Amino acid sequence: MKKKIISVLLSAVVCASLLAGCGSDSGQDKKDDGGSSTPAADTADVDGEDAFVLGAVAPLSGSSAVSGQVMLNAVQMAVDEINEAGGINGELPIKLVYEDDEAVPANSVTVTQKLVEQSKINALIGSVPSSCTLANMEITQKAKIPHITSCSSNITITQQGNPYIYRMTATDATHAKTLLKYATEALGAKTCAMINESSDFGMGAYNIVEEACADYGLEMVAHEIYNSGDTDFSVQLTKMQQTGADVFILWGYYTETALICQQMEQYGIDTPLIGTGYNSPELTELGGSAVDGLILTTPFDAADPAEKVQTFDKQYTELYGAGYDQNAPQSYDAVYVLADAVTRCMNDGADWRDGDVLTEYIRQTELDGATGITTFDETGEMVKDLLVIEIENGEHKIVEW
Amino acid sequence: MLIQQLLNGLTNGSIYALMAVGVTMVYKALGMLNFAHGDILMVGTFICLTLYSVGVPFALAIILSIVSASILGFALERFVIRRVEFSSFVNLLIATVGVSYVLRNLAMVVWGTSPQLFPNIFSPTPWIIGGFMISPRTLGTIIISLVIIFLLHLFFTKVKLGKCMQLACSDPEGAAMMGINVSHMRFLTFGISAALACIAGILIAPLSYARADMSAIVGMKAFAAAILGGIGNLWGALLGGVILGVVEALGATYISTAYKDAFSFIILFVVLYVKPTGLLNKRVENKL
Repeated sequence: MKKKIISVLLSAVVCASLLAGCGSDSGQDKKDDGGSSTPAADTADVDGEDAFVLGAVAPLSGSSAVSGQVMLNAVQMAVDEINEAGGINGELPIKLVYEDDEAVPANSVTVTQKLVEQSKINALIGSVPSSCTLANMEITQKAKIPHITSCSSNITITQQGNPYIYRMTATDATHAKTLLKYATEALGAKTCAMINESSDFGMGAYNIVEEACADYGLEMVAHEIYNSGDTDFSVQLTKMQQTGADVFILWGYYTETALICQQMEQYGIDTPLIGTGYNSPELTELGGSAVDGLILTTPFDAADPAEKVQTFDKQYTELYGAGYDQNAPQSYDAVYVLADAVTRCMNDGADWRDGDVLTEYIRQTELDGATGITTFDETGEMVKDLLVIEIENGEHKIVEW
Repeated sequence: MLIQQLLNGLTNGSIYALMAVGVTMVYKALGMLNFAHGDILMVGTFICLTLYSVGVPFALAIILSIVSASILGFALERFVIRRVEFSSFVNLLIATVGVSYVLRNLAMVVWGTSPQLFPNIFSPTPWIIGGFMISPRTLGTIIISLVIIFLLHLFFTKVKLGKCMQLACSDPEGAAMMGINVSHMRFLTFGISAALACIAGILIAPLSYARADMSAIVGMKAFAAAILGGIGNLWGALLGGVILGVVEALGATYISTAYKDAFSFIILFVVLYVKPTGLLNKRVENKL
């Protein structure tokens, strides 16, 4: 009897889980369908034949869902704007199709394959995690489809000789160039001391900064490391101070940065502190007045009075509410970079449907967008002078130099 | 430089010591480590911060949070430890690990995952004496730790209740035969230990911020300090904490900051290899 009850219960559980499985599967399908017929009414009735089909791959579920959604929001916003104005060059509408890769590289490959084969995309934007972009860029390369990643910063993405990949986010090298330029030109520094987190993030940056120092005639006189979660930086800071460096370079996240600033204040160290990685609203909340005077670099800042920045900020906030990061304006600009390249193609009478042609036109890009003027080098890496921001009374202020 | 780093080491060491004392007390009571110790510290700190942010005066908030932490300690003993006590040693150990996870995740839900600013008890602005910097916070932390350990020592050696607790811990059966309510004593031990954790939390938080994962930062160091000094020994916990703090600071200064945390555990290995009972514990033969 007991066995019978258990077996009945078990089968009920199995049935239930099967049903649940079906449920989520169909939900997935629905979401995918939703992707192909985008919510915006004016893009839904576009015929695939005479439209520019833009693919987007981003994590829309899972741990990176928030950043994926931000990217997609910004892309959608740019596509709607262009279509409302009559399409690319006033004649060619954009049809946006997007897929969720759940921040899993294997999924990213599958959904990219799907976009390439079924949706016949002309260009791709995505994904957010570098591991996903590294995986799915092989698909676009094989299919000869121009591919822009507006969020992935892993340095190797543009170092693989793939002529179809472009990056529109600042890498550590981009940050290092602006920072060292600022240190030598604006601060007149001759020596620097660097402190960074012991992770790949910090150590990778250290190697880049150390190499770049020579180009700017800067000598690195001290290098200190801390672990994520450390709370006491007294040893590192005293050692750095004793070298008499003209400037401290910091590569870290906001929690440790706030502590480092507070402890520098306590120890009476007034060496200028410049760096990146800690651009977050929480920084000023935690650091209070101690973070005043801190310098950081960023490709985009809402405090920038430039008209394009303010328009973007206003529109994004109106449509999706607050809480976007630099990935949003970068993704927004990525759509305009593609639109601009297609327009130039059309004006030259070239065939934008040919990926080889389009990718060469993207390489010639010189576009003034929400993130400033974007150009690319021969590897597809974005070339841009970043904004230098100083924190003043808890507010961001753009440094002119 | 050397003296400055010694001072830095002493500050951290006194906090490790305060944590280690709490760990050691529970060890004396149960013969095991309480893995939820660091999380009680975290919850106590957050309670203090919450009370302070709704307008309760800071001093009162500190007292209330210490009281609530000890209530948490009582509850842990009454509803968890007492339930699994007689099953097995492993169950007891796992139970505290479970409590640790529950508390940490609960804290993430209630107080969020991002670190929060915690008010200073002592001014962090340092005095400069003869070229060395020492802050009132450093001095305050060291003095509070010393006073608490000294008071505990008096309590365990001079006060009758303390002596009963001591006895209930070292020989539960004998104590029961002498008419001491052993489970009652154990109950008290947990409360005091939790209160100590809360005090340590309030001393650390201005330096490290209040955060749900703050137990991970100090927890392992507290265990290491307690074992280094000889687990179950109050003065050993103090000594162990101070040694860890100083070794860390000196190792980071003269060898490399990258291996700061490793130095404390290397010294732990060395000490245990030479003296397996820890620095201050005598070897006790088990009599059959």
